Amino acid sequence: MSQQIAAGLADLAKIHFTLEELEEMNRDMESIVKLMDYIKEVQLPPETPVKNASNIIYLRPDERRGNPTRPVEGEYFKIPRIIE
Amino acid sequence: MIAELRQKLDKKDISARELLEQYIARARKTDPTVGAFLHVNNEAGAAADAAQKQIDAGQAGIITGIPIGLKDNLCTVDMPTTCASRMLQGFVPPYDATVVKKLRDQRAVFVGKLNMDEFAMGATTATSYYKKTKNPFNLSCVPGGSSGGSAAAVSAGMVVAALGSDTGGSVRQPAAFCGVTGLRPTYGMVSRYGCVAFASALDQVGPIATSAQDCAYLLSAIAGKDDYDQTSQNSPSFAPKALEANVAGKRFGLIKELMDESLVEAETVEAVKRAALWFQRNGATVDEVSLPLLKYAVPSYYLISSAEASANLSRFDGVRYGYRPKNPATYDELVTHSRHEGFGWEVKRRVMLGCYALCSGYYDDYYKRATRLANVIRSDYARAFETFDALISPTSPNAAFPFDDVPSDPSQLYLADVCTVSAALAGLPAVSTPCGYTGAGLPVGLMITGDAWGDANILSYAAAFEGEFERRTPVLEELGA
Repeated sequence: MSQQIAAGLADLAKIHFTLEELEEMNRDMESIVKLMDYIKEVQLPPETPVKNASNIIYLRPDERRGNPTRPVEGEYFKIPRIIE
Repeated sequence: MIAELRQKLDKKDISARELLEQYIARARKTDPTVGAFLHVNNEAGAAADAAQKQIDAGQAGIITGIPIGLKDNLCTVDMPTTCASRMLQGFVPPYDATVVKKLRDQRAVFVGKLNMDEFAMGATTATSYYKKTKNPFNLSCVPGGSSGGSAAAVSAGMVVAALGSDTGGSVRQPAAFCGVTGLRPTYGMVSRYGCVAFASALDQVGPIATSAQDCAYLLSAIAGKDDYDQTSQNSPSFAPKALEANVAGKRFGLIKELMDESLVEAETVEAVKRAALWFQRNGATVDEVSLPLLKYAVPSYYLISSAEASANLSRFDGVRYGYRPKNPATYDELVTHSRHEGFGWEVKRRVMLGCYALCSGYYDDYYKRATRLANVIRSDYARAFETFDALISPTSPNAAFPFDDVPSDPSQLYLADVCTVSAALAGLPAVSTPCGYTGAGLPVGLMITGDAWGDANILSYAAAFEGEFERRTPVLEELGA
């Protein structure tokens, strides 16, 4: 896994990492993904359904959705009222 | 133990307050060494008095007045619920989890909230932000996890029983490490409403106690359909008092792949073999059964659970819940820095893995494949249950290990979940009960896995085994008690 991919994942995960932390996370992810790759070798029957019902065929691009502009009131961000 | 205490309480040999004080006194002496509690309930005395009124009125249920501990991911209106994370430091939920409400309605007495791996992610309880919980059998060893505080508190006699949660083995493995009994119920048997979500397709709340019988009592108190959790169902009724505790005529399958000495420590294999012989001596048959896809269960579990965790934990953004850094310059910085400072390393790893598995370029190869594999594993179990009444195996490839031996490579730590994750993927009930001790005196767990809704059956098999097995308790003097 390249550090660029790790940085992209951190962006999607909305987690800030320092450069050193990102390097360490990248090393950890390389080891973990190697273990995960193990499932690629299993031959599954072609018609095996997914565990849940959502057999998704459209996936949105791997882009982080922009944060809405929040109005600020003093030191607080204003968010819509959800409880009346 | 619960039945004996029930009798004492009902006969007025002891009051609910006196019983609570015994356990609190033990916790005061022992817990500074063990470190199981994150929060002690200041209102426990009042709860014991309320329980006493119910006992005096002749309206006590089986758990009325019984001192119980709660894993710190179960929401409680009167105590903090932190999930052992900095992110939720000081958070007091506005509602009780359904399991908490059920116990509260039956006047169980909550002694306090118990330590865990942060957001239930881990197998050592060492990822807790707050403290290290030690194994009562050997203080230099981990108690297992993620419900390590629950298992250690029961093992050290600081509570009669406790609730934990099991996503991939988090009740069973710490129960095995701490020499107590822990049950992962059938998926859907117990409501998760108010259990802080980790991986919703897998999470289950389950009891930890000193016997299968006590687990049955606690399970009967918390099971049932809940309108707030649409995955919950009404389970087949069972009477915990009438657990058959008999294995004669039953057919057990010994899972071949989990008895492989290249995977599982020799002492663990030997202890489980001795347990299998006990089953045979008592009229059961034990035959080897092969579930070859179990070797793929670990990556399948980690992909599914991490994908779900990345979604479930997105709510912790410094706005809706939890920790918030001082003076963020922008909204974006508020969110990313809240998560940077609020989450521990293991949680970040899981969220990152979850994002990876769900990326459009990797989705088919990882997440989708993992869910398909989980379905095949479930079918394999279903086929095995056409032949067997239950399957037996070790709960963990090894007994508790020293803190210093926690692997630095995360994949090595994940592989240690090999015995427990497959039952979770298949939604099946599984109970861990002690079946032996290593040369160093550490407990070894036997796992009995049943078919869906066969929780009472596997508890009765465990109860039968426990009736003959000489269970050890930690030497409390060594713990300062």
